[in-house]
Amino acid sequence: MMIEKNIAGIIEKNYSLPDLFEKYASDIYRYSLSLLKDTDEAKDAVQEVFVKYTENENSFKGACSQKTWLIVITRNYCFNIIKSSRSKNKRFDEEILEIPAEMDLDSKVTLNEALKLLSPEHNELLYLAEFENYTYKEIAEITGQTVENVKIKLFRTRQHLRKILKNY
Amino acid sequence: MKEIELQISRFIDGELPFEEQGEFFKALSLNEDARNMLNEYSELKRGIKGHYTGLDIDLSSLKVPLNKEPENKYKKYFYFSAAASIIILIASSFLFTRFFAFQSEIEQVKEGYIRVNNELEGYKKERDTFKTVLAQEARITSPQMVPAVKNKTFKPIPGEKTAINSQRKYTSRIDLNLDAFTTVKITKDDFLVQPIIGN
Repeated sequence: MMIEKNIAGIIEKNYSLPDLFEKYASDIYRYSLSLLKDTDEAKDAVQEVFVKYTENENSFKGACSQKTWLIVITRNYCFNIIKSSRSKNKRFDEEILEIPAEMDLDSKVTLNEALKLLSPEHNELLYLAEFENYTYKEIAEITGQTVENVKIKLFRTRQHLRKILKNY
Repeated sequence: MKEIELQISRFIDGELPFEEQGEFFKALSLNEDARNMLNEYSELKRGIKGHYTGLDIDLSSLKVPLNKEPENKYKKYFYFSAAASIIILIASSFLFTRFFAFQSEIEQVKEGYIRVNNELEGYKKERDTFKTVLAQEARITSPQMVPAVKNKTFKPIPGEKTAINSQRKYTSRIDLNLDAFTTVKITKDDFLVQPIIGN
């Protein structure tokens, strides 16, 4: 078994493709769902990610863990989808969305609904920090931002999510 | 309040440095709103984690190439190396064949040279033998013969004619009685092919 280090320097085992799928397919699906907000698109994303992994397996140098590499492939794929849909539909932008006017502010907003209101970039931060428990540094490396940026954006995202849930 | 809110966000992410935690807990102890905010953020974290954990995930319909054959990177080089080996084998065979042929040619030339050299030595011996015999015969048949002496001038024998204004330092005169010899016409071919004396 080949030994490699992840971003944090922790040595992890190298898994075969079937093992990788069994171990990380669900996480890739969740991550894709946090970005694309559509179950069918998220499933397509999982398939594409593992196909891309198969095609580019030899270019994996071991600078990060296999899971992180899969996360990065997923991110790149999903944001390409988002960009192409944004170019078609100019309604979206990179900032946090406003609460739609048709929404009944008197009723409690569920967490699921509140997460759908956030932009993919902010959903991504919440997923990586809250579910995957990545550090700021790891999130910064995956998303290509600075640590300070990640810290501030995550704080703002939580603030806004809290406001939505409190119906502010 | 914004400052403490940022610290709460960092704290629940596990990113608040140890040296700041003392002041943070002190602020929390004095601020009820901050404590409520910490509870809300903690609950939010649990909620988000539960949201993603509780997703109904069914990926059985996916067609992922799991049984990919391990890429044998040496396979693509196999045919190239096989062809190269065959070419090298053929070239080596050709070169060895030419080498051995060239070697045999060298041997033939060597043998030819030795044969010619031996013949030449034979001819030289025959020539020397003939000279010796010729000189012996000349001495036998002509007592008047005056041997050649280098760097000496001869006094002419009375009655003998000498070359006028000769620049030669010595003179050799051989007065042979050729009748003592068998009349054999000697040609170049005879000289080389058969012995002259005793034939």
